Amino acid sequence: VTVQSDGHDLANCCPSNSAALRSSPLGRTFAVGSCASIFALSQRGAGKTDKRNSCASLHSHPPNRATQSVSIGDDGLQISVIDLSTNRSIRLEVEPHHTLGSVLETVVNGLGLPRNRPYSLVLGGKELGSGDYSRTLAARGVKDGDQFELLPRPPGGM
Amino acid sequence: VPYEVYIEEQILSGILDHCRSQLPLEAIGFLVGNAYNWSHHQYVHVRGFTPGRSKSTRVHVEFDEGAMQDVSATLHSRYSGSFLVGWYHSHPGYGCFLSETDLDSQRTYFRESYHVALVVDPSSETVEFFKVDAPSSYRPASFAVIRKRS
Repeated sequence: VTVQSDGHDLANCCPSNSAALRSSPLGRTFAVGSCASIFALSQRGAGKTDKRNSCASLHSHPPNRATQSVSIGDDGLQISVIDLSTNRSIRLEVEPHHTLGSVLETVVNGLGLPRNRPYSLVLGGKELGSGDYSRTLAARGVKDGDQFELLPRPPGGM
Repeated sequence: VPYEVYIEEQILSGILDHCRSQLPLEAIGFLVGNAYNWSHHQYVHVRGFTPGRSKSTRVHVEFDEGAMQDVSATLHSRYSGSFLVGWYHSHPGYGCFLSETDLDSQRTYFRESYHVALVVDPSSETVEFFKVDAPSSYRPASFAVIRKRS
């Protein structure tokens, strides 16, 4: 999975007489792998791309390299996820056999969010149920260009 | 010095109504708006709210599975261009403060410096906004209620 995080968010939301908050990592790109079921795309040599089925840790790459230079299999999909609590979006290159759970894990890692906490993904206006996260993107009918929404699930109380 | 939160009167009234409707149980939802910088001060404008279907007791509340698609639909249909600047929930009869659970939620999910938490006690009709500045402490956030001229 290749992830690119965008910071186009808040500037679009602010009136012209107010300065936008720009705290997001504009232009940073990541290659993230969090489990063995995810293909990690990595750079090897000048202009060459290697696809490995292995775990990968978080790597920073020079801006605009990873997603522009890599090529993935014919079945590869580009999807995006927008975090509705910050309006930041993250782009991922994935394969149809990846699970929705691995996509969520990759997004949580890529955005630097705390792990092992409940989050929800919404696709096409439908919230993914707890049983969906073990399904593959192909089984769920995810298409190239689809955008997921990430929402927090904070508990409250005494 | 500007306030840290600006909220429209009818939005605050709607949140209070939601929390009253859940009595004696707790209620929960999100605050929808935008974040700004003005003259080195940061503030949020709360334009709306999304009440959440919840699993509630008198001392605990969490969103139901399936509640997030309602939140998404409300954001798209009513508050285009805005996002979740914080969350709210009620403490019926217990006053307005952040419990350990609340503090942990704020630190986990609302980590930007503009994010706020609103706690409502519908029994005493009191409200308070809070911000987390340090890992283990929080403070009240100043707020102003915007009343539109009739």
